[in-house]
Amino acid sequence: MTRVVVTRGAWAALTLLGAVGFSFALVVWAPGDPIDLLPNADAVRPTLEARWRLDQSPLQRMASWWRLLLAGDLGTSLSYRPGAPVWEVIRQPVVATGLRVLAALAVAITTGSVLALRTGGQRRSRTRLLVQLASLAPLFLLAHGAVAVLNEGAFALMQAGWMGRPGWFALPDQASLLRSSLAIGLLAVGSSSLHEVHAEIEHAVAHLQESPFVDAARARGEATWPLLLRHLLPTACSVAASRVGWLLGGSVVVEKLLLLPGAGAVLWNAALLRDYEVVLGLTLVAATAVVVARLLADLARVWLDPRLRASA
Amino acid sequence: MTLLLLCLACGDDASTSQPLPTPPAAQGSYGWVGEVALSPSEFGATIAAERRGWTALHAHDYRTATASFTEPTHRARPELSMALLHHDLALVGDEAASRLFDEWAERGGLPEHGAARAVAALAAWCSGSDQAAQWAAEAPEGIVGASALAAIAEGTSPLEAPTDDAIGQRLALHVAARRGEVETLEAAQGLPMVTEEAHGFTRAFYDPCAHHALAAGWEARAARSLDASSWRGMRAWGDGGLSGRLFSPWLDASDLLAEVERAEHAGLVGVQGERLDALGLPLATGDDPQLARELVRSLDGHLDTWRADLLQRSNAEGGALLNSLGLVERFRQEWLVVFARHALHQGHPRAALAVLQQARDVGEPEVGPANSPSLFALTAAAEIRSGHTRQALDALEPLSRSFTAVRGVQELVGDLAVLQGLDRQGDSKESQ
Amino acid sequence: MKRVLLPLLVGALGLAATASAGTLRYAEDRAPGIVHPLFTTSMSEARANELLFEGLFSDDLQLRSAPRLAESYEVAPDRLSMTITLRNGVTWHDGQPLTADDVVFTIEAMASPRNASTEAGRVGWIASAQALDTRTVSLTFRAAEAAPQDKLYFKILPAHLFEGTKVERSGSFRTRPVGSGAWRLTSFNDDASITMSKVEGSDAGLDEVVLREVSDKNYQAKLLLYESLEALVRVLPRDLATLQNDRKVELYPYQTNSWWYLGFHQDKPALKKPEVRQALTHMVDVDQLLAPIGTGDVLTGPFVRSSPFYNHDVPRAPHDPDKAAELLTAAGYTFNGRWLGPDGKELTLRVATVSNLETAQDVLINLQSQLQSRGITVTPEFLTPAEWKQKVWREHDFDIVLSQWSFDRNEDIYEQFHSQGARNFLGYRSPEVDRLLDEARTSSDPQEKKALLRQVHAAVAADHPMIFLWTLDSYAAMSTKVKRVVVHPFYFFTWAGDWAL
Repeated sequence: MTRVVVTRGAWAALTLLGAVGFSFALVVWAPGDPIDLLPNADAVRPTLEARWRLDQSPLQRMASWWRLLLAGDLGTSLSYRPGAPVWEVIRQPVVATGLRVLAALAVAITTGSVLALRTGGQRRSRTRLLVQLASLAPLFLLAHGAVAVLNEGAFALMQAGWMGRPGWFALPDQASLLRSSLAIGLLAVGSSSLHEVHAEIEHAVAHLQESPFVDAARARGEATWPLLLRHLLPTACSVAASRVGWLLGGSVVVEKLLLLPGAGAVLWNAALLRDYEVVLGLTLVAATAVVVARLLADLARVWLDPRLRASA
Repeated sequence: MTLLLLCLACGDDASTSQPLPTPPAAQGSYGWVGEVALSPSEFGATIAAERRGWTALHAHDYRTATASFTEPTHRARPELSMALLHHDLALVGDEAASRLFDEWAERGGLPEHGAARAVAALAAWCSGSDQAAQWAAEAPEGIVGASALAAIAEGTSPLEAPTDDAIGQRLALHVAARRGEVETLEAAQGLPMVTEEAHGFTRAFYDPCAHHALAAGWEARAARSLDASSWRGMRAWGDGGLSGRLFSPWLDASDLLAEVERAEHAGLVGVQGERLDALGLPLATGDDPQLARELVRSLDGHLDTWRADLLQRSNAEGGALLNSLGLVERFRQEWLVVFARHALHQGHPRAALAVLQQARDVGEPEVGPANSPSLFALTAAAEIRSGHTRQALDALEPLSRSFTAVRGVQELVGDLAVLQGLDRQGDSKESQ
Repeated sequence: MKRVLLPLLVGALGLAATASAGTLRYAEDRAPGIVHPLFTTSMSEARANELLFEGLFSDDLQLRSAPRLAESYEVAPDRLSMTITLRNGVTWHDGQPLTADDVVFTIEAMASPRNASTEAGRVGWIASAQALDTRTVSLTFRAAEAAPQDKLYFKILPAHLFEGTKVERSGSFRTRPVGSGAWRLTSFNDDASITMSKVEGSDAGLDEVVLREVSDKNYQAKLLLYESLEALVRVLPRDLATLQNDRKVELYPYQTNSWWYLGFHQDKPALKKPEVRQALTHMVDVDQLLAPIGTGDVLTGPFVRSSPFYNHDVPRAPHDPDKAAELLTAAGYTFNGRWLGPDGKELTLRVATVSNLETAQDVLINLQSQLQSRGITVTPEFLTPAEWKQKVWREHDFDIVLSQWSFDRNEDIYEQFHSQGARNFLGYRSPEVDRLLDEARTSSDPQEKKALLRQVHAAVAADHPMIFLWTLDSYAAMSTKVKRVVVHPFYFFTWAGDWAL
């Protein structure tokens, strides 16, 4: 098992390196830089290029970025929050988004699994159809629609005098449970996570229902669900891991539309402002999240599945 | 218990910003607006004979209306409206001309030779300024309009001194216009009164007094149509029929008759109606734009209830008329325009501007049923009086599309705007 | 159970109070990244600066310069220097007095190349600044200045919070800016909103001003109707009707001298030929492009229609596809379903526009289908502001641009149309227009200047360096709860000290 951990771990680290390196390359070789956005760009370019080290060659910049990173410094924001350390800029948004993504993942897995257990094996199922339909709509459409319905409905009720002004309405001043729940729900459904989980687990369930050891357990009069659960866990893990990327992408849309503070909104604005320090910082965090998720899922699969453990 | 009730009753004091509810007696009758909505057949009968004229009047197309109406008392409506439009444009021209020539002279560079001072003197004379004689005295010898200038210098009217030069010929048109023959002067106003060759370009001076003459001319026409000696003949519209009040700021005949006697000029008739008095509108706005806005909001609050009440009580035809002709909106605008004119007359340009901005239908850029030509002219006057020369041009632009006679005032205001911007290097930005 | 559920539900629904009575909430497409007058890059930052900082002069209600931090001033007879006396008793948000040293410091900090300030150009004309005493500043100019007070609107910064003239983006001023305006910055919030509170002792009528970031302008209008905002800086044309009819909202018109255009790259082989440019002018149906996006005036030249410089005698180029075809044929193009150039290749035009220009995308897509149906392929390019600066301004890498120019009250088009103009990225060159623009710039006769610029209008219209499109009617929208509102057409908040809630 240790060998598995080390090998997979090494691969994960390499993947991460590769992903970050690739992102860095994209950012560095993309045309334009944050100085372009300044009204007197030509006049200040010499000073700022030197100060922001944009005049160095891409390899030099990559090297110094890695050097800083290894020392624990993610760099300094250039144009998004000029002068602020990147870690300070992204810390809270990353936590907020991370929690949201984890919650969405949890919702997708539990809901998807529960639904799949019900519909697995059935030829036609209304629930399956509903899940498929729900996943057809693009996330931005779903989010837009949900926000519109909620706001218009609340406003109508307010105008009719049936309701006071709720804190979550339209442009909230503080966080609210309803808004966060809505965001999580939208993420889970809209990014196709729910659908994917449902489909995969359904497939696995159908397969398992017909397997001999389940039949044997049924014949013995034992409950089948512990067995199913145990055998489904690996599938659930791998699906979960594969959805993290999609969820991170979806959170950009959801945060923008629901006006929630988070890494998605920061990434969006930083990218528009060509603040590559912040963009890279966020990319690093996102890539790490995805890679670690996959690694953990992989390790979990090996650990859970005796056949794989044996062959490792 | 009785004491308590008594205390409650006397404790209730209506502040001026709170509109009073419409008294029950007046409820249900909203002047001509209500008459059209509730008796569509009577409305149909009124307009049947001269449908084209009424349609044109509704669209604020005064020219077509004057040409289409055959009944003189009907024709007097658009004729008087034209007089008021020219009166409003004269406000713009007077202000612009006096500022232009004063500031230009102060700055230095007012052309020494040529007609500049003559035009300045003429402008001062027709606006009633006491600077007229001074300008006339400063004008160099032997220039165009010399005899007109001599008359001004002596304090007599230059219209009585006919001459053959460019200015004299134009003044002859003024004389004709004041008698009611307005067409020629209106057409001429689209062209400069005097042109001179300066170094490398043609200097053009437009007639600063045309609108005064045109206002007087159209007023004379209206008086003739009303078979009266002056604009006060409009009391004939108060004979009780709908046609005298349709699309006007006076809801009832009594409103019109009461004001005709005491108003200073025709453009101020309609600002105080009995019905509106009963609403308790906060009319004392002074020159405070905020109070002016609150006045409009208060009016809107009442008009909303009127509209709802009328829609409920009218039949299908009446309701259709109410919506398609925009009867309530029309009254609102007509009254707000009169109020703005009144505010300007009292020296409250900022309040006038605030009211006019609210009166304008921003969805409709042009003169039409939704926006009257006087609305634009008064907006320009209010802007200039508030010191916003460039904005006055924005207000005149839609007007110029339907009235070429506005060209003269536009050029005058344009000269002033350019003068005020000399020596300043401009800045520009790409899309914000 | 119910006892627990109900409070939970109520808590979940978050029945919280609305913002406090004296708070003005307004929306920006993008919240400022930094509120620092030396490093301003966007209009949202400029607007925030307007609340927190003050300049020596600012616009009065007639849009003419009036003293603000200055109390009085005197320009020397030779117009090469001026002395300014500052108002007495002005303090910074941290209580320190505002002195002449602050003015000197600001000018020097702006000019210092080491600081790389975005505002450096605004003080290039000042040769030196000196504090004669705590309240008097003397400025000398590089050349004679007719109206120096018009150029002294930049915001003054507190010298005592910096070392020497060194000002850095990363300094602590970034998170705790200190100005002299009626409001001070209380917090930069997580959700990209900014809270500004009234300074004690100020007689401003707004206790608090909150900036919220809402990227969708359509949603901004909705929020105003929901009473979640009190002010919208700019309203989309399609939202005008809804807002006008709402009794709780009031519209305030902007006087913007701005117009849209389709600019041709003068050096591209196809567009070099005047026949081709003329053909395109006849081919594009401008009315049809305008109709879906709003109301406005279609133009024939580089001024808005109400401008004194607009030449009303210049006729509109009619939408005439047949004439366009004739012209293209005369230029050596052939048509066989698509227009082919003299080299046999299909005529393809790359049209670039900037993504933050509202409704530009709609116009460009519409334009594409118009020209496509006439046999010309259009490749639309939607650029971010950074890309726009790069591709259009520096590299001139485009065929046609769809953009908008906004001019202040002087409507000075020199930079756009003079061959030496700093904003003439289209590469338009006409000796005749150069001469006219040079003369107009120095003219001291309003009628002469008017005549010269009208000639420019005619000359430019005849050369077809661009298809002039339209001006759009522009409005700001405010809740009727806000009183005594006058909106500055450029900076929005200049007179916010008079507003009251």
